[in-house]
Amino acid sequence: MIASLPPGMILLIGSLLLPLLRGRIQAAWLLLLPALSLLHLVSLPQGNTGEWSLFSYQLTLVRIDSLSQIFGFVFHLAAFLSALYALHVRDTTQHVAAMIYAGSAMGAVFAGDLLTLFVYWEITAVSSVFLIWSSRTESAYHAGMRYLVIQVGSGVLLLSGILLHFHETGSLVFNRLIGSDGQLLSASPAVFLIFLAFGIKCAFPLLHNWLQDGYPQATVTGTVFLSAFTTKLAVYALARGFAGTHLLIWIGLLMTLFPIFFAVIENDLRRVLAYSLNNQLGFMVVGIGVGTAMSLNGTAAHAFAHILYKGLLFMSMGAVLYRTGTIKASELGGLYKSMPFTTVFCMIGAASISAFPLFSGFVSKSLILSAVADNHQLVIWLGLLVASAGVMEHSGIKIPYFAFFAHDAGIRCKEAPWNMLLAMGITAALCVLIGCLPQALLYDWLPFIDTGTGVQVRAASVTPELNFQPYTSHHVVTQLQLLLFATMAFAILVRSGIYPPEIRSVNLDSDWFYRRPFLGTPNGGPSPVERLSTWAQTLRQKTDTHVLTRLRQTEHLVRGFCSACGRQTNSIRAMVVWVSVLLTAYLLFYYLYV
Amino acid sequence: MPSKNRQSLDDRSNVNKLVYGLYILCGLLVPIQFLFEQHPHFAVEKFPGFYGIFGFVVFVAIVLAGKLLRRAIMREEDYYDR
Repeated sequence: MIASLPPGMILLIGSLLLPLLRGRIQAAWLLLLPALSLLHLVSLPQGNTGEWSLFSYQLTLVRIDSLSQIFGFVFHLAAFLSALYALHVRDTTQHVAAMIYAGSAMGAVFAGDLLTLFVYWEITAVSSVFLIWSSRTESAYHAGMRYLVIQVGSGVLLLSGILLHFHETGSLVFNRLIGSDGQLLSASPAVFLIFLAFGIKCAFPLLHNWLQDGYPQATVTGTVFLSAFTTKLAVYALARGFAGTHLLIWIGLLMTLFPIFFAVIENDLRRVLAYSLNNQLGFMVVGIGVGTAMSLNGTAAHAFAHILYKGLLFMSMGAVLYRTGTIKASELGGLYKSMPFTTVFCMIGAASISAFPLFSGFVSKSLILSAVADNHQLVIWLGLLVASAGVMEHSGIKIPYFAFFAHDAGIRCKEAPWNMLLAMGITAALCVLIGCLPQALLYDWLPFIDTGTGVQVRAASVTPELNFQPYTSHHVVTQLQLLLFATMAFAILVRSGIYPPEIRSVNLDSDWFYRRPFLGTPNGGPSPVERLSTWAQTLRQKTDTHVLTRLRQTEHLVRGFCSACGRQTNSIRAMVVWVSVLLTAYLLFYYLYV
Repeated sequence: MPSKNRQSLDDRSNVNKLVYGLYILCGLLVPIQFLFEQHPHFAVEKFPGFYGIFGFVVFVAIVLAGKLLRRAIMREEDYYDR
C-alpha cells in the first residue's frame, strides 16, 4: 500500500494528522514526515509507475529519473531542515500548510504528465499562501491575496495551455515541449501558454514582483519554506520542457541583472534576499537556455546548492527578525555580539552565494559560466560576471554587514533558539561540504548527458560523465580577484561615505502598476479606482436621465401622432394585440416563403 | 570582511587592520595570477588583473547606479498603506 504511494504523498496525508497532535509529539511528527518520505522515495524503482486513464486522458502519476530525483532529493532535504528550523513554532496552521506545500512540490517534480503537474502546481499555490497569511497582519493579508491571484493565474494559464496542447497532440506526457530549433516564436500557442505559466512561477522580469512582495511578508519560518520550493519547481519544469530555448538566455541574463540594483537600495533585508533569489534564478534560467549538457547540469547543480544556501540566509535573517523584532537594515547593526553563531552561519551562506572557493556556489555556478564560455557567448558571459559582482554586493556583503556589523545599533538580544541554530548549522555544514567535495556530493548525481545526437536525461544505469574541475589555480585566483576587489570597493565606498545609507523607505517595483490605482491621495482623497467608479456612476445616472427624457419625448410624439389619426393608444392591451398580430404574420410569412 | 572577534570591531584601529589586510591581499592576487598556467576563453581575460579591475569597477558602478535609482523609485515607508 505505502509502496505504491507517489512521492510527497506521505507529507500530504501525514500533514492531516498534525492538527490532532500537540506539543512535542507534533514537533516529532513534523520532523519524521520528510524523513519517512525520503526513505519511501529511495525505495521506489526507477521509471514510470501509477499509470491510469481518466476518461480519455492517459496519466502518469510518478516518473522517477535522474532529473526528478535530484530535485526530489533536495526538496526533501529542504523540507527536513525547514521543519527543524520551525520546530519551536506552536501554530498548527503553519505546520500543516508547510507540509502540504512541500509535499505537493515533491509530487509535482515526480509527475509524469502535465495534468498531474497542474494539480500539484495549484496545491503549492493555495497551501503556500497560508505561510504568508500566518503573519496575521493586515499587510500580510493583502500581500497574500496579491500572491494568490498571481499564483492561481499561473495555474489557469498552465491548464489552458495543457488542454490546448492535448487537443493538438493528443498527448499529456510531460517531456520537452519546445521544438528542436529552440525558437519560442515557432512554437504553438499551447506551448507558449505553458511557457508563460512556468515563467510567472520562475519570476521572469516583469512577472517577478509577487516574489519580493510576498516572501518578506511571510512568517519567520514560512519564508524559509517558501524560498525552497515554488521557484525551483518552475526551474525544474523549464529544464524538463524548455531546455535549449534561446530566448531563455536573454530572459535569464535580465533576471540576473535588474534585481542587483534594487537590492542595493532595499532596506528590508528579507526583501534584499528575495531580490537576490531572483538574481540566482537568472543563472539557472541562462543554463536552461544554453541547453548543453554542461549548462543544464549547471542549472541542476546550482538549484541544489542554491536551495541550501538561500535557505540558510533566510534562516539567519529569520533568526534576527525573531530575536529583535525587526529586519530593517536602518535599525540593525552590531548583532555579532549578541548572536555570534547566527553571524557565522550567515557568513557561510553569504560566502556560498557569492561563490567563494570551498563553498557550494563556487562549484555550481562555475558550471554555468564555463558552459557559456565554451559556447563563446562573450556578452552573456560578461553579463553573468557583472551579476556575480552584484551578488557579492547585496548577499555577500550587505546582508551580513548591515545585520551583524556596521554601526552598533545597541540591540542586545539572546542567540537564536537551539532548533534554529541546529538547522542553520547543518545547512552551513552542507554548503561547505558540497564546496569541498563537489564530485562525490554533486557532480556524480547530475542528470544530463550528451549522447552525441542531443542532450538527454540520463538513465539510472548510465554513469554521469561530467568532466569538470572547478579547483584549477587559474579559476580560484581569478574568482578571488573578482570577489576581493569588489570587497575592497565596498570598503572604500563605505569609508569615503559614498555608499548610500540605509533609509527607512519603500522602493517602487513592477507591483506599482497594480497597486497604485488603489491608493488614495496623501490627504485622504479618493484613489484613482474610486474616482473611476464614481465617474462611471455619474455617467450612468446622466445617461439614464437622458434616455428617460428622450423616451418621454418619443411617447409624447407618438401620442400626438396617434391622436391626430384619431385613435386612443393608452391601453397596453391594444399594444400587445398588435405585437401578437405582427409576430403571427411574421411566422406565417416565414413558413410560407422561406 | 570583518572578523567576528568579540567587541573588537568597536575599535577603529582593528577595523583599519582588517581593511589594510584586504588591500594587501588584493595587491598580491594580481601578480599571483601569472605564477600559474592560464587558460582563458576570451581575449579580455588575458589583460593583467582583468578580474580584479572588473570586480572593482562593476561594484562601484552598481552602487552608484543604485543611488541614481533611489531618486526615481524611493518613496515614504507608508507609501502603500496610506
